[in-house]
Amino acid sequence: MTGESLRDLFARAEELEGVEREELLRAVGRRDPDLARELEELLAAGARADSLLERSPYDLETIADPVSLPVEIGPYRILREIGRGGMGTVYLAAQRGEGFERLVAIKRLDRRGASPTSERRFRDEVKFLAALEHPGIARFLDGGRAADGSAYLALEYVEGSDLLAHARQQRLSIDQRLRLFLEVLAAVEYAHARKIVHRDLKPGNVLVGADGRPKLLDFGISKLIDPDAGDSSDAATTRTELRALTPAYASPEQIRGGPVTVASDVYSLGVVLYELLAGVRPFQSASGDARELERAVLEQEPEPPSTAARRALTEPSAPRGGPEGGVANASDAPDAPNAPNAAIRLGRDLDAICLKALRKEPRERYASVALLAEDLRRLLAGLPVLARRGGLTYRLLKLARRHSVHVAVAAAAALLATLFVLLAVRTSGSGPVARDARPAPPRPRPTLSRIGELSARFAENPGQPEIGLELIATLLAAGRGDDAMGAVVRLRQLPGELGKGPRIDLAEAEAALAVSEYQRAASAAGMAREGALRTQDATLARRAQVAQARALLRLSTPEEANRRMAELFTAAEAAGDEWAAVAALVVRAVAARKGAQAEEAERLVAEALPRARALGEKRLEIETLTLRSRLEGESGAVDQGLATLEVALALAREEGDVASEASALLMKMALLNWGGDDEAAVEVGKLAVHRLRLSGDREQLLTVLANTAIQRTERAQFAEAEAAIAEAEPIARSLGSPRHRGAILRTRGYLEEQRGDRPAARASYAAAVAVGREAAVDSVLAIYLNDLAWLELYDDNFDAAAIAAEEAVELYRRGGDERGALEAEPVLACVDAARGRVARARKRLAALTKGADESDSESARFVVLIAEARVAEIFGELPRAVVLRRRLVEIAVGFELPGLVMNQRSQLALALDRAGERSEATAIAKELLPQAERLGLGDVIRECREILDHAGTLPAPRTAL
Amino acid sequence: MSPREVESGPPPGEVTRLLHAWRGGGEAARERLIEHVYAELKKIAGAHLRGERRGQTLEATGLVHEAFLRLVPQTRVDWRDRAHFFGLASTCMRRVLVDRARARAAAKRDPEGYVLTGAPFGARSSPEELLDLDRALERLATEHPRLAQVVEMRFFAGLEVAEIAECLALSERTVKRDWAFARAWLLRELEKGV
Repeated sequence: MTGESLRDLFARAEELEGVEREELLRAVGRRDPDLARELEELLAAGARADSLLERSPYDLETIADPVSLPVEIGPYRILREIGRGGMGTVYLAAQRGEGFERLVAIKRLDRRGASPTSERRFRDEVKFLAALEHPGIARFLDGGRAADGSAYLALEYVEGSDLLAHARQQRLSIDQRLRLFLEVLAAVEYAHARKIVHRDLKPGNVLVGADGRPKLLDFGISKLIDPDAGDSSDAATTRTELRALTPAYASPEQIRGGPVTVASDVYSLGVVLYELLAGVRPFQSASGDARELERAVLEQEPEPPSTAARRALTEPSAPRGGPEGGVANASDAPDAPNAPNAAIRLGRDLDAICLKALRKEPRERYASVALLAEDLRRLLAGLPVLARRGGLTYRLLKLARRHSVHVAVAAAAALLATLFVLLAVRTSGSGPVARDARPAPPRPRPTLSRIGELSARFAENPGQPEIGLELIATLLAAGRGDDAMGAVVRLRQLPGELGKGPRIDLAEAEAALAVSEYQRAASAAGMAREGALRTQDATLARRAQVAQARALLRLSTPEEANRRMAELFTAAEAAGDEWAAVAALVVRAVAARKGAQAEEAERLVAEALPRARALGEKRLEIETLTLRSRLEGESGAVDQGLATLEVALALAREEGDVASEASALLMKMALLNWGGDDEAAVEVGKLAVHRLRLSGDREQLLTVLANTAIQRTERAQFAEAEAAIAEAEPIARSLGSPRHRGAILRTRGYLEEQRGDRPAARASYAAAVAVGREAAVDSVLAIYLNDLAWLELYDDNFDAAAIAAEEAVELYRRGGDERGALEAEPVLACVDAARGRVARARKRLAALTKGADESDSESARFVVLIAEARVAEIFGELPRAVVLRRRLVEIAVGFELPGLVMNQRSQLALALDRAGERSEATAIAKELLPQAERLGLGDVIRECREILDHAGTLPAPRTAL
Repeated sequence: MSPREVESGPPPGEVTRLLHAWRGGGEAARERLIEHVYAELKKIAGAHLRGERRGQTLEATGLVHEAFLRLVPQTRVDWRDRAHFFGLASTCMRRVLVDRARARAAAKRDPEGYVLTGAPFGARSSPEELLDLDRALERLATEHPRLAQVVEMRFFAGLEVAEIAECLALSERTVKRDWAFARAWLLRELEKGV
């Protein structure tokens, strides 16, 4: 009897009852008694088997009172629960569509009974969120109501580790952490531009996937969960929101139940950044009590993250790398990146940035996420950060502010930081290019006569690339990058194979390094290496690797350069190539410092220095010494760093190597500046600029020159300013980027305006606006428009002024730059007044005055005050205008800028003249005129002459600023 | 799930390729598939149980479904792939659970108090129950291989009757009959207490 028939019989019998079933059994028994017995047994078992295998095998396995899992929510099939929080439960679910199926996350919300209004708002919000589409934001798919009436949201399912865990697991350096954080900021910025505030930013809401890219979860969700939250009109309900929040990351206003804005997200991001860098949060509650924590958030000032990181390191509770502490790699500490070095690197700028984001008052924080991001980018690029130098750098960033707004800028300090960035990679790009691996004979000093001689020989013997290569090597040794690049170009033009080959590729790579063309350096070095390997010239290949790694320091990560140089070091040691070995050590040291591993950098420097010395490689020796001085300075030993630098400088001078000397000089500026000796720093700076001119680093030079021009213009030293601009203009053109060109145009316009050449200034500002449109960077364009608006206003071109100012205000606001808007909007108040819209002008002025007072920005206050004076003049409130003008002069005197003071005094004289106080007006004009003539302040000269000319008659109603 | 775990899975498209090869009669493909699916299920179940969720029933359907969505790229889903996958996944799921039960039973016997590294499912029922069932299923498979398959799918993978019918190319009615017979058969076997 086959199984099938037993199964068939069983199925048949199962459908029968009582007598009929017995009959069937008897019938079977007659044919096969065994089969009948088995069938009977099975039927009996079947009757008891109802519960068998009904429980899932996991029931056997889970601890638990089984809570039923919904099978479906909306169109989604629930797979399992993946999370549970204050706001509800999160499930993993499958969405099955036509021809596809995917995993999604479903949030079922514990939401209070919804009124029709809130229901509509829920639906609107859902639509709104569904429009958010950014690679850094988990997609919001859908929202609706489940069969049981509860609200649910369907979101993209994201897999990954949370931000802090990722940074810890991957042992990210500070730079890597910052770059990752910048990606997070970009996503938040995107949402903010669409008026969606996150309101619950925390590391757990930032998942980093297998591809290393972060994704933000739950954007705008907290508002859905509690639709009334954040509505400042209803403080009672906002308070309830906190339960869904994570107090450790909530802003003071969220805890207080105040309005939740973009600034709240800025704050939460500040906490996340702080924790990402320091490994601890800014506020802790020892007892774990939420109220205590809230009080701390509301009342305590957070300590700087660098201090917190250092403390976390020394406190016994914080795990250390090893028992000795010394060699132990502190990156083993749980959160802090390379903790001891972090404590050093975190200093100053990062402290300032974190603390600015963490201000208690929303308006004191970064006005937008974009500005926070910009500051971090500036930090990464080694530029002065906005947070640190407050309003001053703010203006420097924008190059020149309007003359009337100018404040004495600690320009030298800011400029230093700008220059400082390139130091690490700056110096020696070149090894002995046209040499073989044998110990190099002492290289002839790259004297001018030597360069001239080689140059002439190269010109006379175009068929001998050897001479060209030697010329390039000599030029590079002298630090003359531009000239070396020129020689490379000439070599390349040689016919046939003469202009090709790995040695010429390497020469190009090293020259490109010297003039900051890193992409070009990397590709030329790559070609040199391949070619060298083909011709089996291992020494040349190693040199190419060094050049490549130097380019990678700028193009890629320090880790990458370090990895490559570690490999090269081993190979060079094995081959007995001492130059390559030492160069590899030096590049690794630079990379370690860039990667915030100061101790490792120090160790490598100590290893490289004696070997460079023994080898007679002065250039590597100078570079190493300069790096050592930087490490010393960064660890606080400024004097020691300066002493180290003197050795480096002496060597560089002896060698006639201007590039190395310029780098050492910039380092000296920085150290003097850190040590507080600004005067000396400025003097060293002049020398550094001189050397930079020779070495050919154009970008660096442009920055220095532009800043110099502004400084000089502010001090009414127009000839010097003009010279700096004249030198900067061709550089800006050759660099080609609209930003560079725009900056110089604006600098020139500022000079022209100060000199009183108004048509020229208008042309320069208008050109800057055109370039700004080309650059398509709102924040930059806004600045240029602002310049133009004030110029037009001064000349009573109200329509043009209004058009430019309106666009500037809009662009500033769009970028979240309230302070910028405060500087452009006063123009509109003046235009209102001039057009006779009295009430509107007054209302606008009142709002601006309030905004300026709250902004804590000197320049904003100053500009608004100017507008007030101007409006008073337009309305004919002459005594009031005089009072305001007097105040402006006082403030200007405080800025200690002669040009600004004289401008304001001349405006005061005009106001006095109009108000009938002619004797004082004349006295001021008489005093001002000779000074203005000496300095060449065109506007002041004109105005003074005007007052003096019609002394005794009623002056024309000039209302100039 | 850490990025590293995600990376260690089969390359995208691999499972689909193997499914096709298996459907074309490749037994080697089946072995490779089982490896991948087993690893994936173990990972999901493990990750889930490490999450210390209290008060929630783990649903086999969900696990298998999740494994499917993770392993098979969902751009162009061939429903035959799906059926084959689910059939195979039930075998794998059985292995995952039996392996765990075996480990737990061993831990219980070990006087040293052997502790499992991956948190065990729980302590509520005896792992022996599941092991007995596994052995009974083995015997059922020798006599009625298809019935054993139906039980695997229904019990270990939590598939619905319709899904099982789809996987095995049977009518739903046949699946229902098979299920009733298999349960009776297994109960009798278990009661014998071999």
